[in-house]
Amino acid sequence: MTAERLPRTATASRRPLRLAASLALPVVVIVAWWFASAGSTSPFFPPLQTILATFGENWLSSRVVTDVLPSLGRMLAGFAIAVVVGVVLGALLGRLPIVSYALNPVLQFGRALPATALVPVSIVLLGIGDLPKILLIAFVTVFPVMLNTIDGVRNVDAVLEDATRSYRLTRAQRALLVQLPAAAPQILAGMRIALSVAFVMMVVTELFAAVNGIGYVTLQAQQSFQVALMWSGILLLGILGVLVNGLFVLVERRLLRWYAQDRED
Amino acid sequence: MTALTPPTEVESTADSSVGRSRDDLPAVRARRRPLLRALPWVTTLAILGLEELLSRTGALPEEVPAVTTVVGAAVALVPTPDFLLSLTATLQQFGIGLVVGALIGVALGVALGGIPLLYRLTHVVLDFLRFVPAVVYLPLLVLLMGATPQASLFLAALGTVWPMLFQTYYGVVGIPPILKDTGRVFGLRPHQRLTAIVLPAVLPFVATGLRIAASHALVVVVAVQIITAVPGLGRDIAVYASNGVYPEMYALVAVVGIIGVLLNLVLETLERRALHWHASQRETRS
Repeated sequence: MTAERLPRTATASRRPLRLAASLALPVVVIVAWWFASAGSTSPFFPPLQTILATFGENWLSSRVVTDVLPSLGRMLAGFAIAVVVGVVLGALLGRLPIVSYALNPVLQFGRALPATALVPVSIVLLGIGDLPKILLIAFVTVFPVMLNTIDGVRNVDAVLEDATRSYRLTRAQRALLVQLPAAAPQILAGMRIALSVAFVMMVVTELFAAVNGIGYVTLQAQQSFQVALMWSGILLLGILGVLVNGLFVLVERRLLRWYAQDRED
Repeated sequence: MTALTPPTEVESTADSSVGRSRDDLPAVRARRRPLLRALPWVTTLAILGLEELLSRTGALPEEVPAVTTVVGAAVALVPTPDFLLSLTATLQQFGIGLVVGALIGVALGVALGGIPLLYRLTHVVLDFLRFVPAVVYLPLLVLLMGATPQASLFLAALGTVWPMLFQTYYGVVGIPPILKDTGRVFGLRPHQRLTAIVLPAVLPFVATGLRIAASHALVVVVAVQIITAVPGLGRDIAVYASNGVYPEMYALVAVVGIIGVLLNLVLETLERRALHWHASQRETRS
């Protein structure tokens, strides 16, 4: 067992080998998919070459403006509103324990309600345009941000609190310079959850009722049996999911380096 | 690509605990003061009462019926066979999907945690796939399987596999080597090592994974139902919405919400138990 846990330096000479092992399977998967599907006449599984050609013709040209940007724009707008509203409300409620306690059942219900159940409701109330989708994404993603902010702001180190008070920091200074940074790990964890929910909601709102967007085009393609276009849409959504969620994890890591170091001491 | 592994998800359990963290909080004081204990429910009723008032006076649009109208619709709806069929269908797709996905996820997580070479070979692909939400595969599944309960179940299982796999993996690789060595020195048999060392270390991670996975699986099942008209509460919500039957629509949204709340309560209790054991272990070690 100890052999696998050798320090990094001892295995440094094997690094190229390890890199090759890491990249072997992805390469094998893509090559296998390429050749296994090459001569495919199955209506469900077109050749990978066809899918990639369709991908280039659609998602790398005119559809960038007509569908990709509207999709991402709606998601990011909803997420941004949720972050601003969630952090501000959460910081306030975290400082007013009695209010957050009184609202607890409402907040817990809002968090536990499966967000996708609200998609038909949002269409009844607001219609199918851009704004309803943005507001729906903002509404369902505000809960993880707000609840995590409440929790983070509330659990600021008591000694730190006393210190800021004896230094006579104003209320605003305490909130901006001490409480929010101290709550950052939990706020970012909430934002990570919110972002993944926002992505799911972007896709679902477009699959349910829309006039444009990646999800809309993908579902239309499936229903009109343009199978290669459908595959390319799924491919694009997959890549975007990895980019959006994966990049946030990297950003979160970076921002929280102080926190990780702190905990190791 | 290892850099993409998020901070262990156990930390994000913090998102679940408004009003139960410190001794001086109202939730704790409430045990001694009944008035304070009633406060959350009084507030909730007050909010609902305000909505009732606004709706009755016509301040809200007609698409937002009064609370009592929605409750009336729910009372009439819940005993009907149609509702019960939809409820059972939803719980079946969700429950079977969750169990199947959890079993696969835990099995894969244990394998990856126990065999470092396997992890090295597969981690790039796994790190890619974990960030692809299950709903993305929906058009493909509907093409291959049709708008069937099986498609919904399959997607719920798929959405469950990733959190379970990674949580189990973190749990398995996080077992301190000193614990394993101690077990070996004491000459524990394999089944003793499993119950005394491996399970206590891994279970808290699995419990957290299950909570994350369950709420995601429910979101996925409802999404499949509203989009593809697979039988279930999601489909009924969409049908009521498009027919303009609003009280019934809100009643079903409330039912789905209550399912979500109950699920959360049960899984958080499970998780706290597993974590409590975990934390006490940690104290004795240091």
